Amino acid sequence: MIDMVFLLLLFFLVVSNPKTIKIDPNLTPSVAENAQAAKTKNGKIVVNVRKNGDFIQEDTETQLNGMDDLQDYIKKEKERVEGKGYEPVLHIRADQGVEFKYVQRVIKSGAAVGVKQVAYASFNKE
Amino acid sequence: MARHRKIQPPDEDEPGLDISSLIDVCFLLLIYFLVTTQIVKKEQELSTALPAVAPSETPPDLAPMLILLEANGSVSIKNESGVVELIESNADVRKLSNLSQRLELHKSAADVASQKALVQIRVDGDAVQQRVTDVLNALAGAKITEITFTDLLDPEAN
Repeated sequence: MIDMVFLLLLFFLVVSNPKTIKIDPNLTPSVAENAQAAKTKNGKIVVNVRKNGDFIQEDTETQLNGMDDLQDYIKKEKERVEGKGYEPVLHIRADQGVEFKYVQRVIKSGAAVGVKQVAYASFNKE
Repeated sequence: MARHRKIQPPDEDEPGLDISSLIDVCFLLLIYFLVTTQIVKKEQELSTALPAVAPSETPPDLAPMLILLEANGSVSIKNESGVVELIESNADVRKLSNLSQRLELHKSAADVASQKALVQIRVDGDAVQQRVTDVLNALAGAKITEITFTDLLDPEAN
């Protein structure tokens, strides 16, 4: 009995994965079976793009109104990330049903402030 | 003859380790993890580099493959002679097998020439994100990493 308790405890200790990136519950990312796990979670500049085209910050609550807001947010995050010594990566978590023109705006904003890498968040399976 | 019996000390005098509190703590931890653990799908990613960071001073010998993704989800490729060829017309089919075959050929040709396989993607702004991901997924399957999005200008954003 005690052995089983220890085993269960070890199991949960191992599988419990502290989340460092919040996932916006109001969107469903695309599915790509060849997507790979991120090498690092450091340096991520997360922008959520909901199905209606709303841009949401990493906190999944604060909305970015328009390109200027979006660009300012990415710029500030870039400076913050670089200040910590990480390479900034624009982590776009777009709803699978959103039109690509909204994602293009995020990419454009990232390019405008000099973010070199872009990662598209997705799941491996439905 | 009287038998000499060795007097045994009482059991309660033996030193022992009381692990009951340890077990209590373990149970509490177990209950905590049982309650708080959520089985969630792990997020993955498809990585690309922005076009601006991949400038080439000399044009590559092997021309990049241009993939065109239309708003209706159809996928075409533009060959070296400039002819656009429709290779995936059914937007409901998520696995782009024809595109994957072409990409593997393109990758093989690049490998033979000891070059990197370059791919450009031009996406209609009204195409849905899942379809773009399907194309990126095919590229990841062919192990092509040199991907650039062309036509990033969005007139509505300006």
